[in-house]
Amino acid sequence: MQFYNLIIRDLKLAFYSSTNFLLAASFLILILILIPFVFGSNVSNFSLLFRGFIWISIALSILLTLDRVFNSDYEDGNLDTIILTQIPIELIVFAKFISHWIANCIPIIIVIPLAGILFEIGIQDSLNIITNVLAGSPGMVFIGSAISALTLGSKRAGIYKTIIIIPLYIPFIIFGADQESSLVLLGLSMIAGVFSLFISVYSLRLYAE
Amino acid sequence: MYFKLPNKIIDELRRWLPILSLTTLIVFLVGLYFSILNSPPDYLQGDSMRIMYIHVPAAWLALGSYSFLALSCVCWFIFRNPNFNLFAKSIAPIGAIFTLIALVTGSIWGKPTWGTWWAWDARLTSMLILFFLYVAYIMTWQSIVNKELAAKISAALGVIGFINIPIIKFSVDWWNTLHQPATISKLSAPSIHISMLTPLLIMTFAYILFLATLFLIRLKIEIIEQKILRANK
Amino acid sequence: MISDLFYMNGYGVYVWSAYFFTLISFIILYYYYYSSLLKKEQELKNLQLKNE
Repeated sequence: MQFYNLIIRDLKLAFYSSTNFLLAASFLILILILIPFVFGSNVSNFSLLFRGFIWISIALSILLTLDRVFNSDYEDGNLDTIILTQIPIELIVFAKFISHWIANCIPIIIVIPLAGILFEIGIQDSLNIITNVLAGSPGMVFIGSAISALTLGSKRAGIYKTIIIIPLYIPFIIFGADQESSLVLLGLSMIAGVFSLFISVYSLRLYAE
Repeated sequence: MYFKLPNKIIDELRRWLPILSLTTLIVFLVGLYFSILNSPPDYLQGDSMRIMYIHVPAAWLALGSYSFLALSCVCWFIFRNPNFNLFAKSIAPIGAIFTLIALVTGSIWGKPTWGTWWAWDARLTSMLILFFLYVAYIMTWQSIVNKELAAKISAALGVIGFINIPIIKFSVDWWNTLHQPATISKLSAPSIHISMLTPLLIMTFAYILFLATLFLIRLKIEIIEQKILRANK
Repeated sequence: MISDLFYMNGYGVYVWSAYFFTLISFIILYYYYYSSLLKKEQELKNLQLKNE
Protein backbone atom coordinates (compact mmCIF):
# COMPACT_ATOMS: atom_id res chain seq x y z
CA MET A 1 0.00 0.00 0.00
CA GLN A 2 2.78 2.38 0.90
CA PHE A 3 4.51 1.41 -2.32
CA TYR A 4 1.38 2.20 -4.26
CA ASN A 5 0.98 5.55 -2.51
CA LEU A 6 4.55 6.51 -3.28
CA ILE A 7 4.09 5.74 -6.96
CA ILE A 8 0.83 7.71 -7.04
CA ARG A 9 2.51 10.68 -5.38
CA ASP A 10 5.33 10.78 -7.93
CA LEU A 11 2.97 10.29 -10.84
CA LYS A 12 0.80 13.13 -9.61
CA LEU A 13 3.84 15.36 -9.35
CA ALA A 14 4.84 14.45 -12.88
CA PHE A 15 1.33 14.92 -14.18
CA TYR A 16 0.63 18.31 -12.63
CA SER A 17 3.78 19.78 -14.10
CA SER A 18 2.47 18.81 -17.51
CA THR A 19 5.62 19.72 -19.42
CA ASN A 20 7.47 16.95 -17.65
CA PHE A 21 5.05 14.32 -18.78
CA LEU A 22 5.45 15.18 -22.44
CA LEU A 23 9.14 16.02 -22.47
CA ALA A 24 10.64 12.61 -23.22
CA ALA A 25 8.13 11.67 -25.90
CA SER A 26 8.33 15.00 -27.70
CA PHE A 27 12.12 14.90 -27.49
CA LEU A 28 12.04 11.49 -29.17
CA ILE A 29 9.88 12.80 -32.01
CA LEU A 30 12.10 15.86 -32.42
CA ILE A 31 15.24 13.72 -32.79
CA LEU A 32 13.44 11.61 -35.38
CA ILE A 33 12.38 14.77 -37.23
CA LEU A 34 16.03 15.69 -37.65
CA ILE A 35 16.79 12.45 -39.50
CA PRO A 36 15.15 13.30 -42.86
CA PHE A 37 17.05 16.57 -42.86
CA VAL A 38 20.30 14.66 -42.69
CA PHE A 39 19.58 11.75 -45.02
CA GLY A 40 17.08 13.27 -47.44
CA SER A 41 13.32 12.91 -47.55
CA ASN A 42 13.05 9.53 -49.31
CA VAL A 43 11.43 7.81 -46.33
CA SER A 44 11.44 4.28 -47.74
CA ASN A 45 15.22 4.14 -47.21
CA PHE A 46 14.80 4.37 -43.47
CA SER A 47 12.97 1.16 -42.64
CA LEU A 48 16.29 -0.60 -42.05
CA LEU A 49 17.81 2.23 -40.06
CA PHE A 50 14.67 3.09 -38.11
CA ARG A 51 15.31 0.52 -35.38
CA GLY A 52 18.74 2.01 -34.74
CA PHE A 53 17.47 5.58 -34.79
CA ILE A 54 14.68 4.80 -32.38
CA TRP A 55 17.03 3.22 -29.85
CA ILE A 56 19.45 6.12 -30.00
CA SER A 57 16.58 8.57 -29.51
CA ILE A 58 15.19 6.55 -26.60
CA ALA A 59 18.59 6.54 -24.91
CA LEU A 60 18.88 10.30 -25.36
CA SER A 61 15.32 10.99 -24.17
CA ILE A 62 15.84 8.92 -21.04
CA LEU A 63 19.14 10.70 -20.37
CA LEU A 64 17.33 14.00 -20.68
CA THR A 65 14.75 13.14 -18.03
CA LEU A 66 17.08 11.62 -15.45
CA ASP A 67 17.50 14.88 -13.57
CA ARG A 68 13.99 14.50 -12.25
CA VAL A 69 14.24 11.14 -10.50
CA PHE A 70 15.93 12.25 -7.30
CA ASN A 71 17.19 15.78 -7.92
CA SER A 72 14.05 17.80 -7.14
CA ASP A 73 13.44 15.85 -3.94
CA TYR A 74 17.07 16.26 -3.00
CA GLU A 75 17.09 19.98 -3.60
CA ASP A 76 13.92 20.84 -1.67
CA GLY A 77 14.83 18.53 1.21
CA ASN A 78 11.98 16.09 0.67
CA LEU A 79 14.43 13.23 0.38
CA ASP A 80 15.42 13.50 4.04
CA THR A 81 11.77 13.44 5.06
CA ILE A 82 11.00 10.41 2.95
CA ILE A 83 14.02 8.54 4.27
CA LEU A 84 13.09 9.33 7.88
CA THR A 85 9.70 7.63 7.48
CA GLN A 86 9.17 4.00 8.50
CA ILE A 87 9.07 2.82 4.90
CA PRO A 88 12.19 0.82 3.94
CA ILE A 89 14.44 2.85 1.71
CA GLU A 90 14.68 0.09 -0.92
CA LEU A 91 10.93 0.32 -1.41
CA ILE A 92 11.10 4.10 -1.82
CA VAL A 93 13.82 3.84 -4.43
CA PHE A 94 11.99 1.13 -6.33
CA ALA A 95 8.80 3.18 -6.30
CA LYS A 96 10.76 6.11 -7.71
CA PHE A 97 12.16 3.92 -10.49
CA ILE A 98 8.74 2.57 -11.42
CA SER A 99 6.96 5.91 -11.34
CA HIS A 100 9.70 7.51 -13.40
CA TRP A 101 9.42 4.71 -15.92
CA ILE A 102 5.65 5.09 -16.13
CA ALA A 103 5.83 8.86 -16.42
CA ASN A 104 8.44 8.91 -19.17
CA CYS A 105 8.61 5.61 -21.00
CA ILE A 106 4.88 4.93 -21.41
CA PRO A 107 4.53 8.17 -23.45
CA ILE A 108 7.54 7.07 -25.49
CA ILE A 109 5.96 3.70 -26.17
CA ILE A 110 2.69 5.35 -27.16
CA VAL A 111 4.54 7.60 -29.55
CA ILE A 112 6.49 4.83 -31.30
CA PRO A 113 3.64 3.62 -33.61
CA LEU A 114 3.13 7.26 -34.55
CA ALA A 115 6.77 7.56 -35.49
CA GLY A 116 6.37 4.30 -37.38
CA ILE A 117 3.64 5.91 -39.49
CA LEU A 118 5.89 8.91 -40.19
CA PHE A 119 8.63 6.60 -41.46
CA GLU A 120 6.42 4.03 -43.22
CA ILE A 121 7.16 1.23 -40.77
CA GLY A 122 4.73 -1.69 -40.85
CA ILE A 123 2.53 -2.61 -37.89
CA GLN A 124 4.37 -5.88 -37.35
CA ASP A 125 7.72 -4.09 -37.07
CA SER A 126 6.25 -1.42 -34.83
CA LEU A 127 4.88 -4.04 -32.47
CA ASN A 128 8.24 -5.78 -32.44
CA ILE A 129 10.01 -2.55 -31.56
CA ILE A 130 7.47 -1.85 -28.84
CA THR A 131 8.06 -5.28 -27.27
CA ASN A 132 11.78 -4.62 -27.21
CA VAL A 133 11.29 -1.16 -25.72
CA LEU A 134 8.96 -2.55 -23.09
CA ALA A 135 11.59 -5.09 -22.12
CA GLY A 136 14.63 -2.82 -22.34
CA SER A 137 13.62 0.66 -21.24
CA PRO A 138 13.07 -0.24 -17.54
CA GLY A 139 16.70 -1.31 -17.31
CA MET A 140 17.86 1.91 -18.93
CA VAL A 141 15.76 3.97 -16.53
CA PHE A 142 17.05 1.99 -13.53
CA ILE A 143 20.70 2.40 -14.46
CA GLY A 144 20.31 6.06 -15.30
CA SER A 145 18.49 6.79 -12.05
CA ALA A 146 21.12 4.94 -10.04
CA ILE A 147 23.97 6.92 -11.58
CA SER A 148 22.13 10.20 -11.16
CA ALA A 149 21.52 9.28 -7.51
CA LEU A 150 25.24 8.65 -7.16
CA THR A 151 26.16 12.03 -8.64
CA LEU A 152 23.52 14.08 -6.79
CA GLY A 153 26.06 16.07 -4.83
CA SER A 154 28.09 17.30 -7.78
CA LYS A 155 27.34 20.69 -9.24
CA ARG A 156 28.36 19.75 -12.76
CA ALA A 157 26.85 16.27 -12.69
CA GLY A 158 24.94 16.73 -15.94
CA ILE A 159 28.11 16.70 -17.99
CA TYR A 160 29.94 13.70 -16.71
CA LYS A 161 26.93 11.67 -15.68
CA THR A 162 26.37 10.96 -19.36
CA ILE A 163 29.95 9.73 -19.74
CA ILE A 164 29.23 7.05 -17.16
CA ILE A 165 25.72 6.21 -18.29
CA ILE A 166 26.17 5.85 -22.05
CA PRO A 167 28.66 2.95 -21.82
CA LEU A 168 26.18 1.19 -19.56
CA TYR A 169 23.49 1.63 -22.21
CA ILE A 170 25.51 -0.07 -24.94
CA PRO A 171 24.25 -3.61 -24.18
CA PHE A 172 20.65 -2.42 -24.20
CA ILE A 173 21.09 -0.69 -27.54
CA ILE A 174 22.83 -3.70 -29.07
CA PHE A 175 20.16 -6.15 -28.03
CA GLY A 176 17.39 -3.65 -28.62
CA ALA A 177 18.34 -3.30 -32.26
CA ASP A 178 18.08 -7.06 -32.69
CA GLN A 179 14.62 -8.39 -33.47
CA GLU A 180 14.63 -11.56 -31.41
CA SER A 181 16.33 -10.50 -28.18
CA SER A 182 13.46 -9.19 -26.10
CA LEU A 183 14.02 -11.96 -23.55
CA VAL A 184 17.69 -11.04 -23.23
CA LEU A 185 16.61 -7.44 -22.77
CA LEU A 186 14.21 -8.46 -20.03
CA GLY A 187 17.01 -10.34 -18.26
CA LEU A 188 19.33 -7.36 -18.62
CA SER A 189 16.65 -5.10 -17.15
CA MET A 190 16.24 -7.36 -14.14
CA ILE A 191 19.98 -7.53 -13.45
CA ALA A 192 20.22 -3.78 -13.94
CA GLY A 193 17.31 -3.32 -11.54
CA VAL A 194 19.02 -5.26 -8.75
CA PHE A 195 22.35 -3.46 -9.16
CA SER A 196 20.71 -0.05 -9.50
CA LEU A 197 18.72 -0.62 -6.34
CA PHE A 198 21.93 -1.29 -4.41
CA ILE A 199 23.73 1.73 -5.86
CA SER A 200 20.80 4.09 -5.30
CA VAL A 201 20.27 2.99 -1.72
CA TYR A 202 23.99 3.38 -1.03
CA SER A 203 24.11 6.87 -2.48
CA LEU A 204 20.86 8.09 -0.95
CA ARG A 205 22.07 7.00 2.50
CA LEU A 206 25.26 8.92 1.74
CA TYR A 207 23.44 12.13 0.90
CA ALA A 208 20.84 11.87 3.64
CA GLU A 209 23.48 11.82 6.37
CA MET B 1 41.95 11.89 9.89
CA TYR B 2 42.50 11.67 6.17
CA PHE B 3 45.19 9.07 6.00
CA LYS B 4 47.64 7.11 8.01
CA LEU B 5 50.05 5.98 5.36
CA PRO B 6 53.31 4.48 6.47
CA ASN B 7 54.96 7.80 5.81
CA LYS B 8 58.42 6.43 6.37
CA ILE B 9 58.12 4.04 3.45
CA ILE B 10 56.94 6.80 1.13
CA ASP B 11 59.73 9.13 2.26
CA GLU B 12 62.29 6.38 1.75
CA LEU B 13 60.91 5.72 -1.73
CA ARG B 14 61.01 9.45 -2.45
CA ARG B 15 64.74 9.40 -1.72
CA TRP B 16 65.17 6.59 -4.25
CA LEU B 17 63.14 8.39 -6.90
CA PRO B 18 66.07 9.76 -8.99
CA ILE B 19 67.64 6.30 -9.12
CA LEU B 20 64.31 4.76 -10.08
CA SER B 21 63.91 7.32 -12.85
CA LEU B 22 67.40 6.64 -14.13
CA THR B 23 66.80 2.88 -14.14
CA THR B 24 63.58 3.43 -16.06
CA LEU B 25 65.43 5.52 -18.64
CA ILE B 26 68.16 2.90 -19.08
CA VAL B 27 65.72 0.00 -19.43
CA PHE B 28 63.74 2.09 -21.89
CA LEU B 29 66.81 2.77 -24.01
CA VAL B 30 67.74 -0.92 -24.00
CA GLY B 31 64.18 -1.78 -24.98
CA LEU B 32 64.23 0.78 -27.79
CA TYR B 33 67.56 -0.62 -29.04
CA PHE B 34 66.13 -4.12 -29.15
CA SER B 35 62.80 -3.16 -30.63
CA ILE B 36 64.10 -0.90 -33.40
CA LEU B 37 67.55 -2.22 -34.25
CA ASN B 38 68.02 -5.69 -32.89
CA SER B 39 64.87 -7.61 -33.78
CA PRO B 40 63.82 -9.22 -37.05
CA PRO B 41 60.89 -7.83 -39.04
CA ASP B 42 57.77 -9.97 -39.04
CA TYR B 43 57.45 -12.07 -42.18
CA LEU B 44 53.80 -11.09 -42.62
CA GLN B 45 53.64 -7.52 -41.37
CA GLY B 46 57.20 -6.44 -42.07
CA ASP B 47 58.61 -3.58 -40.06
CA SER B 48 55.18 -2.22 -39.09
CA MET B 49 54.97 -4.80 -36.34
CA ARG B 50 57.67 -2.92 -34.44
CA ILE B 51 54.79 -0.75 -33.21
CA MET B 52 53.72 -3.77 -31.18
CA TYR B 53 56.61 -3.21 -28.78
CA ILE B 54 55.18 0.11 -27.65
CA HIS B 55 51.52 -0.66 -28.19
CA VAL B 56 51.01 -3.96 -26.39
CA PRO B 57 52.65 -2.98 -23.06
CA ALA B 58 50.62 0.23 -23.02
CA ALA B 59 47.40 -1.72 -23.54
CA TRP B 60 48.34 -4.27 -20.87
CA LEU B 61 49.18 -1.60 -18.34
CA ALA B 62 46.09 0.45 -19.16
CA LEU B 63 43.97 -2.55 -18.23
CA GLY B 64 46.27 -3.38 -15.33
CA SER B 65 46.00 0.12 -13.86
CA TYR B 66 42.24 0.00 -14.09
CA SER B 67 42.23 -3.36 -12.33
CA PHE B 68 44.43 -1.85 -9.64
CA LEU B 69 42.11 1.14 -9.38
CA ALA B 70 39.02 -1.05 -9.07
CA LEU B 71 40.76 -3.35 -6.59
CA SER B 72 41.68 -0.34 -4.48
CA CYS B 73 38.08 0.82 -4.57
CA VAL B 74 36.84 -2.62 -3.49
CA CYS B 75 39.43 -2.69 -0.70
CA TRP B 76 38.23 0.73 0.36
CA PHE B 77 34.70 -0.62 0.64
CA ILE B 78 35.93 -3.52 2.77
CA PHE B 79 38.48 -1.85 5.03
CA ARG B 80 37.37 1.81 4.81
CA ASN B 81 41.01 2.83 4.87
CA PRO B 82 41.48 6.17 3.02
CA ASN B 83 44.83 5.00 1.66
CA PHE B 84 43.06 2.86 -0.90
CA ASN B 85 41.30 5.89 -2.28
CA LEU B 86 44.63 7.64 -2.45
CA PHE B 87 46.06 4.77 -4.51
CA ALA B 88 43.11 4.81 -6.88
CA LYS B 89 43.21 8.58 -7.24
CA SER B 90 46.94 8.54 -7.92
CA ILE B 91 46.85 5.91 -10.65
CA ALA B 92 43.82 7.24 -12.55
CA PRO B 93 45.45 9.93 -14.74
CA ILE B 94 48.44 7.71 -15.49
CA GLY B 95 46.14 4.91 -16.60
CA ALA B 96 44.19 7.35 -18.75
CA ILE B 97 47.37 8.45 -20.54
CA PHE B 98 48.42 4.82 -21.08
CA THR B 99 45.00 4.07 -22.56
CA LEU B 100 45.36 7.06 -24.87
CA ILE B 101 48.80 5.85 -25.97
CA ALA B 102 47.45 2.36 -26.60
CA LEU B 103 44.61 3.79 -28.67
CA VAL B 104 46.79 6.12 -30.74
CA THR B 105 49.60 3.64 -31.43
CA GLY B 106 47.00 0.96 -32.13
CA SER B 107 45.39 3.21 -34.72
CA ILE B 108 48.74 3.93 -36.32
CA TRP B 109 49.49 0.21 -36.38
CA GLY B 110 46.07 -0.56 -37.82
CA LYS B 111 46.51 1.66 -40.86
CA PRO B 112 49.28 -0.38 -42.58
CA THR B 113 48.10 -3.80 -41.37
CA TRP B 114 44.31 -3.69 -41.72
CA GLY B 115 44.16 -0.69 -44.07
CA THR B 116 42.03 1.35 -41.66
CA TRP B 117 42.65 3.53 -38.64
CA TRP B 118 39.86 2.04 -36.61
CA ALA B 119 37.73 -1.10 -36.49
CA TRP B 120 34.71 -1.53 -34.26
CA ASP B 121 36.04 -4.68 -32.73
CA ALA B 122 35.38 -5.71 -29.14
CA ARG B 123 38.90 -4.98 -27.92
CA LEU B 124 39.14 -1.55 -29.51
CA THR B 125 35.69 -0.51 -28.36
CA SER B 126 36.29 -1.58 -24.79
CA MET B 127 39.62 0.29 -24.78
CA LEU B 128 37.81 3.44 -25.91
CA ILE B 129 35.19 2.98 -23.20
CA LEU B 130 37.98 2.36 -20.69
CA PHE B 131 39.39 5.77 -21.53
CA PHE B 132 36.03 7.40 -20.81
CA LEU B 133 35.75 5.48 -17.54
CA TYR B 134 39.08 6.93 -16.47
CA VAL B 135 37.87 10.39 -17.48
CA ALA B 136 34.65 9.96 -15.49
CA TYR B 137 36.60 8.80 -12.46
CA ILE B 138 38.95 11.80 -12.61
CA MET B 139 36.07 14.21 -13.18
CA THR B 140 34.29 12.91 -10.09
CA TRP B 141 37.20 13.95 -7.91
CA GLN B 142 37.32 17.35 -9.56
CA SER B 143 33.62 18.17 -9.59
CA ILE B 144 32.73 17.32 -5.99
CA VAL B 145 34.02 19.87 -3.57
CA ASN B 146 33.54 17.83 -0.40
CA LYS B 147 36.48 15.42 -0.62
CA GLU B 148 35.08 12.85 1.78
CA LEU B 149 31.93 12.59 -0.31
CA ALA B 150 34.02 12.48 -3.47
CA ALA B 151 35.97 9.55 -2.02
CA LYS B 152 32.80 7.57 -1.40
CA ILE B 153 31.27 8.30 -4.78
CA SER B 154 34.38 7.73 -6.85
CA ALA B 155 34.95 4.38 -5.15
CA ALA B 156 31.50 3.26 -6.25
CA LEU B 157 32.17 4.55 -9.76
CA GLY B 158 35.44 2.65 -10.00
CA VAL B 159 33.72 -0.61 -9.18
CA ILE B 160 30.81 0.05 -11.56
CA GLY B 161 33.27 0.73 -14.37
CA PHE B 162 35.10 -2.49 -13.68
CA ILE B 163 31.87 -4.45 -14.04
CA ASN B 164 31.12 -2.53 -17.20
CA ILE B 165 34.24 -3.50 -19.16
CA PRO B 166 33.48 -7.23 -19.57
CA ILE B 167 29.83 -6.40 -20.28
CA ILE B 168 30.89 -4.13 -23.14
CA LYS B 169 33.30 -6.71 -24.49
CA PHE B 170 30.66 -9.43 -24.40
CA SER B 171 28.01 -7.28 -26.03
CA VAL B 172 30.29 -6.05 -28.81
CA ASP B 173 31.27 -9.64 -29.55
CA TRP B 174 27.58 -10.43 -29.69
CA TRP B 175 27.00 -7.43 -31.93
CA ASN B 176 29.67 -8.60 -34.33
CA THR B 177 28.05 -12.00 -34.65
CA LEU B 178 24.75 -10.23 -35.29
CA HIS B 179 25.80 -7.62 -37.77
CA GLN B 180 29.08 -8.15 -39.53
CA PRO B 181 30.95 -11.42 -39.72
CA ALA B 182 34.71 -11.90 -40.30
CA THR B 183 37.26 -9.07 -40.83
CA ILE B 184 38.07 -9.58 -37.18
CA SER B 185 40.10 -12.73 -37.74
CA LYS B 186 42.96 -10.46 -38.81
CA LEU B 187 43.11 -9.03 -35.33
CA SER B 188 43.82 -12.30 -33.57
CA ALA B 189 47.38 -12.37 -32.31
CA PRO B 190 49.64 -14.99 -33.87
CA SER B 191 52.05 -16.86 -31.65
CA ILE B 192 55.16 -14.82 -31.04
CA HIS B 193 58.64 -15.92 -31.95
CA ILE B 194 61.29 -15.80 -29.24
CA SER B 195 63.31 -13.07 -31.02
CA MET B 196 60.28 -10.82 -30.79
CA LEU B 197 59.46 -11.82 -27.28
CA THR B 198 62.70 -10.40 -25.85
CA PRO B 199 62.12 -6.78 -26.90
CA LEU B 200 58.46 -7.07 -25.92
CA LEU B 201 59.35 -8.26 -22.44
CA ILE B 202 62.03 -5.60 -21.97
CA MET B 203 59.62 -2.89 -23.12
CA THR B 204 56.94 -4.20 -20.78
CA PHE B 205 59.42 -4.08 -17.94
CA ALA B 206 60.34 -0.50 -18.87
CA TYR B 207 56.67 0.48 -18.98
CA ILE B 208 56.08 -1.08 -15.56
CA LEU B 209 59.04 0.83 -14.13
CA PHE B 210 57.75 4.04 -15.67
CA LEU B 211 54.29 3.41 -14.25
CA ALA B 212 55.79 2.77 -10.82
CA THR B 213 57.83 5.99 -10.99
CA LEU B 214 54.86 8.09 -11.99
CA PHE B 215 52.64 6.40 -9.42
CA LEU B 216 55.14 7.17 -6.69
CA ILE B 217 55.36 10.81 -7.76
CA ARG B 218 51.57 11.15 -7.89
CA LEU B 219 51.19 9.50 -4.48
CA LYS B 220 53.73 11.85 -2.97
CA ILE B 221 51.99 14.85 -4.53
CA GLU B 222 48.64 13.77 -3.12
CA ILE B 223 50.12 13.28 0.36
CA ILE B 224 51.78 16.70 0.29
CA GLU B 225 48.55 18.31 -0.90
CA GLN B 226 46.71 16.85 2.08
CA LYS B 227 49.44 18.01 4.42
CA ILE B 228 49.18 21.53 3.02
CA LEU B 229 45.39 21.37 3.37
CA ARG B 230 45.69 20.35 7.01
CA ALA B 231 48.34 22.98 7.74
CA ASN B 232 46.13 25.70 6.29
CA LYS B 233 43.14 24.72 8.40
CA MET C 1 71.83 2.19 -43.62
CA ILE C 2 70.42 5.21 -41.80
CA SER C 3 67.92 5.98 -44.54
CA ASP C 4 66.91 2.30 -44.48
CA LEU C 5 66.20 2.70 -40.81
CA PHE C 6 63.98 5.70 -41.46
CA TYR C 7 62.26 4.18 -44.47
CA MET C 8 61.60 0.69 -42.99
CA ASN C 9 60.29 -0.70 -46.27
CA GLY C 10 57.59 1.93 -46.44
CA TYR C 11 56.42 1.52 -42.87
CA GLY C 12 58.74 4.22 -41.50
CA VAL C 13 56.05 6.89 -41.28
CA TYR C 14 53.82 4.73 -39.14
CA VAL C 15 56.51 3.24 -36.93
CA TRP C 16 58.30 6.50 -36.27
CA SER C 17 55.12 8.50 -35.65
CA ALA C 18 53.95 5.89 -33.13
CA TYR C 19 57.30 5.87 -31.32
CA PHE C 20 57.49 9.65 -31.44
CA PHE C 21 54.02 10.06 -29.97
CA THR C 22 54.69 7.61 -27.17
CA LEU C 23 58.06 9.03 -26.19
CA ILE C 24 56.90 12.65 -26.33
CA SER C 25 53.91 11.96 -24.16
CA PHE C 26 56.08 10.04 -21.68
CA ILE C 27 58.57 12.89 -21.46
CA ILE C 28 55.83 15.48 -21.01
CA LEU C 29 54.10 13.34 -18.39
CA TYR C 30 57.27 12.78 -16.42
CA TYR C 31 58.34 16.40 -16.63
CA TYR C 32 54.90 17.67 -15.62
CA TYR C 33 54.51 15.43 -12.60
CA TYR C 34 58.11 15.71 -11.41
CA SER C 35 58.10 19.49 -11.59
CA SER C 36 54.79 19.71 -9.79
CA LEU C 37 56.17 17.38 -7.10
CA LEU C 38 59.16 19.69 -6.61
CA LYS C 39 56.85 22.69 -6.50
CA LYS C 40 54.61 21.07 -3.90
CA GLU C 41 57.57 20.07 -1.75
CA GLN C 42 58.84 23.64 -1.85
CA GLU C 43 55.40 24.91 -0.92
CA LEU C 44 55.20 22.54 2.03
CA LYS C 45 58.65 23.56 3.21
CA ASN C 46 57.75 27.26 3.05
CA LEU C 47 54.57 26.57 4.97
CA GLN C 48 56.44 24.70 7.69
CA LEU C 49 59.02 27.51 7.96
CA LYS C 50 56.23 30.06 8.28
CA ASN C 51 54.48 28.05 10.99
CA GLU C 52 57.65 27.76 13.06
